[in-house]
Amino acid sequence: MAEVVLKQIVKTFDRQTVIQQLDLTISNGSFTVLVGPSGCGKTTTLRMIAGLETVTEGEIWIGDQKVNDLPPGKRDLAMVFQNYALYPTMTVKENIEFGLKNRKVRKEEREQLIREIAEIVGLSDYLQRKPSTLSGGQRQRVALARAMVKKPKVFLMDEPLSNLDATLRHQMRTELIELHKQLGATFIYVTHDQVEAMSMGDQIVVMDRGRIQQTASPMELYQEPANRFVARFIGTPSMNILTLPDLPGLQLGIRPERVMLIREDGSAFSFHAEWQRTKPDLQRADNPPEGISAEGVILGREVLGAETLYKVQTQLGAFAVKSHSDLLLNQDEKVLVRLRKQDLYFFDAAAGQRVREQDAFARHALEAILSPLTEPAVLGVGGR
Amino acid sequence: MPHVHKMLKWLELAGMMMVALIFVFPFVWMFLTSFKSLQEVIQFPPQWLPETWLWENVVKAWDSGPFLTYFSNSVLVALSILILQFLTGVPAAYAFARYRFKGRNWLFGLSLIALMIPPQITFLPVFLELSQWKLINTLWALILPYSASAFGIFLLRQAFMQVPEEIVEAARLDQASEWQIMWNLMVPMARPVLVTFGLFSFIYHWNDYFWPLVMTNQELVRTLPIGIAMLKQSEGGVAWHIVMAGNLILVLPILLIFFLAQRQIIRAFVYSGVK
Amino acid sequence: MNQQMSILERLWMPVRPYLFVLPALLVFLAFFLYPIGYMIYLSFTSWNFISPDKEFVGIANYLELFAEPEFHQVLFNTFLYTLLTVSLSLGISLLLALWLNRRGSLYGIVQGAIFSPYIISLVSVSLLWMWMMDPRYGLLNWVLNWFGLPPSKWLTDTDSAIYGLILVSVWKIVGYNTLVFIAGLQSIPREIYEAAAMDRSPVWRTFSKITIPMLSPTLFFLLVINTINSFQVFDTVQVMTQGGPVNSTNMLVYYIYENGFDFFKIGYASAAGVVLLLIVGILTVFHFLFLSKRVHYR
Repeated sequence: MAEVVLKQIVKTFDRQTVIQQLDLTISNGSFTVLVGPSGCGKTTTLRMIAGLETVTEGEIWIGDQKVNDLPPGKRDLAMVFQNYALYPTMTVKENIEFGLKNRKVRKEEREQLIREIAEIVGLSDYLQRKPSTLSGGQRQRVALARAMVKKPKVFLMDEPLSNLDATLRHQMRTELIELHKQLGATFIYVTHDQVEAMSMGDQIVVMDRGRIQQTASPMELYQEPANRFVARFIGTPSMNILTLPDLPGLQLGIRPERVMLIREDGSAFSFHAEWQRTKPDLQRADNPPEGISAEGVILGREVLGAETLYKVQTQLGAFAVKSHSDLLLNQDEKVLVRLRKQDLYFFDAAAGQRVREQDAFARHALEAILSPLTEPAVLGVGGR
Repeated sequence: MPHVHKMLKWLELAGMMMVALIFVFPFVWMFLTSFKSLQEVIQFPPQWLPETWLWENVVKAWDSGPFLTYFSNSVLVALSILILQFLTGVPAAYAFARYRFKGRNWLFGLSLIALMIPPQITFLPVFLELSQWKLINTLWALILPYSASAFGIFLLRQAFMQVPEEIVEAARLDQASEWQIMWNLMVPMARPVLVTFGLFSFIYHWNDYFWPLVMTNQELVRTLPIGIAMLKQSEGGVAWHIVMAGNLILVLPILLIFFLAQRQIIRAFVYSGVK
Repeated sequence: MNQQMSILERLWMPVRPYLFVLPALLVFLAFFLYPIGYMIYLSFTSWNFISPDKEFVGIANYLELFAEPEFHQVLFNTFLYTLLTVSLSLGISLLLALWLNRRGSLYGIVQGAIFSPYIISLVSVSLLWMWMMDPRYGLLNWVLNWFGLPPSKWLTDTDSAIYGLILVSVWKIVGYNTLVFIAGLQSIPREIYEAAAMDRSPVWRTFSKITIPMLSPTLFFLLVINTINSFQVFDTVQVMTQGGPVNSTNMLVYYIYENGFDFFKIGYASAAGVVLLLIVGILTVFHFLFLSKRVHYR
């Protein structure tokens, strides 16, 4: 079985440490995405698994074999490169065939395999062409075919879709997910695009500055980020982070889609589906939800069609707000901003680590800033 | 105004014809002379066209010495040099381009120095060296000293350095050996440079007069340029029609290649020099 | 199995690059670098090639060399030849390049025509021009005659022979220089000229302030290459004049050749070789400094 395990991996280039004590288990058959900003070490990690970079310290295991000293060709894995890295002087067929020939696969078997794979990726009519005569999408398919034909236990992909245009990228995403299901092999996929990571991976490894920040499923990553970096990295626009003078050492976070804006005349505006449901709660004077209220002014907006992004200035700081309402707020319009307690995240201001709600309440004077969120008749009634 | 413009255009055209004539007419003159009789050669003012075209002049020139030997020696030497330079140059260029090893820059600098030292300086000591090895008057004396080309290594290294690292890595993942990567992947990708260098090397050694002159004094191992030059001495004085006919044998192959591959040849000689 | 192979590979990998460069380096060592050292050594000996011993004579060969009037003549000839060949060919080439640097098939044909002598063997070129310079039946005297000028004795006269050689080499290399100049001109971005035109720069100022400075790396490259090549002139001398008449066309390489192969004065010839080495060496150092400057450009 092809479980990939990294144990205490360290990688240094010219005395500069780029990967620090990395531990990671990639289970057999998973679609694991390594994601992070450029320079976070995700590609280096992938290349160490591939055997294209040596490991400075630690061990890499593929299945039950330690592969530290195994050359790349012997690790039973295939890689798809960002710029495809097709052999320019060979035809499509020769590109796919090259690895098989080197493995001394018999000719009839090679022909058979190539025919099958070409069928799957839709290249049957292009086998005699040179890569330079193909479109970007077709080259991508050749690169995939070249990897697939070896039937490896592990597929490594280094930003394979980043050179494609948006439409094609979407299409290939779906195809790759399909492919993963069909092959049942382990996929390790590197990208800097968190949307791509969320939509494709079943396990996502968020990396920053040579360290793993969090390993989790997409939903867990969104709902329970381990620290400020992950919280801000996942989701667009990024999570709002508030630093309040009353709360030294602590930061509050709230996702833009969870912020509620209320118009001067009292009509609610930014609705998350959940807010819709809780709206009646607000009107119940006896048991309103707790939260933070603040007055604000719309600084600007971006209409995206399905949603609208606002920039709101309040005494708590500036907010990004995402609204799904068709009605638009205008520039300079006064609004009331409301944040529910259950939507708040707490972070250690210095280290950036997530602080659990009960710890936050235990250590900080949080109650002072929370108040019942009642439905205001006119602006200015609610709030602190 | 348009008249003046037109005049200038015609003037320029005439000028260009004139310039082209200065550089091409000597060859035409060589060609015409080759087919004249001795009577027509020793005429002043000169007679432009031969009365009857004496094709046998070429045969006469060819038969005046062991020209078949000269010719085959020339082909053998130029091609052997080309093949050897290729075989020694590819691995060296590959190592200089893609490996990091101690002393790499130092060794590459050594090759560059070799590139800068012309044979006109080293011929005397090399002659003494080769005569110690008993290689004078063998074709080895013409081939061995040129069996590696610093210029070729320099050009190939540039070409190999431009190959993206990913392609090499993809091949490693495909279980290709370094040897395969070098010959089956890099060499085909460097084809334009190889053609350029091949043309350069072949023409240079086909034309070379100096080295064979110094290293040989027996007919059996002489090359065409020596044979042609000796034609002048053996035919003596004014037998220019025979000398020029012999000259044709030396010049025509090169002119033919030049007509077929003018662009590549100009690139081989000019652009490789500039870069 | 795998483990074993990787041990073998681990032993092989560090030596591999050295093995790859070894054949080529051996050739360079045997035929370029070692001979240089050997020549310098020989220049301090007296040897006639036949006798078994080489006698160490210190700098006697050099003293003899510099006292020898014939060598003075040879040096003078070589410098004169180089000076005139280089300046004439560069001047003509620059003019031709400025004129012919245009697109269009006609310009391409003319460029090809003037380049063609460059790839022809110097032997052919020498013989061809000897024929055209024939004092009695040669084409050149007919041309002089046509222009109403008196005939020349060309290569048979001590006064004119060296100019005959210069004429031949200029004719041969002008095409190469022109095309290198054109390549240099084409590497100047068009936008600079357009900007100059917008600034209403007159033609001559555009030429002196933009074209020439931007072309100076090419000019310098050609200057060095042409000078080095001219110092090594041999084929034309050997074929056309054998250094004569009366040494009027004897130049360095031919002088070394003569002394080594005709007179068997190996030590003396080597000393002359060292002088040539020094001249070429100094020029090469210039060239290298220039190359390293160009690298900074990128």
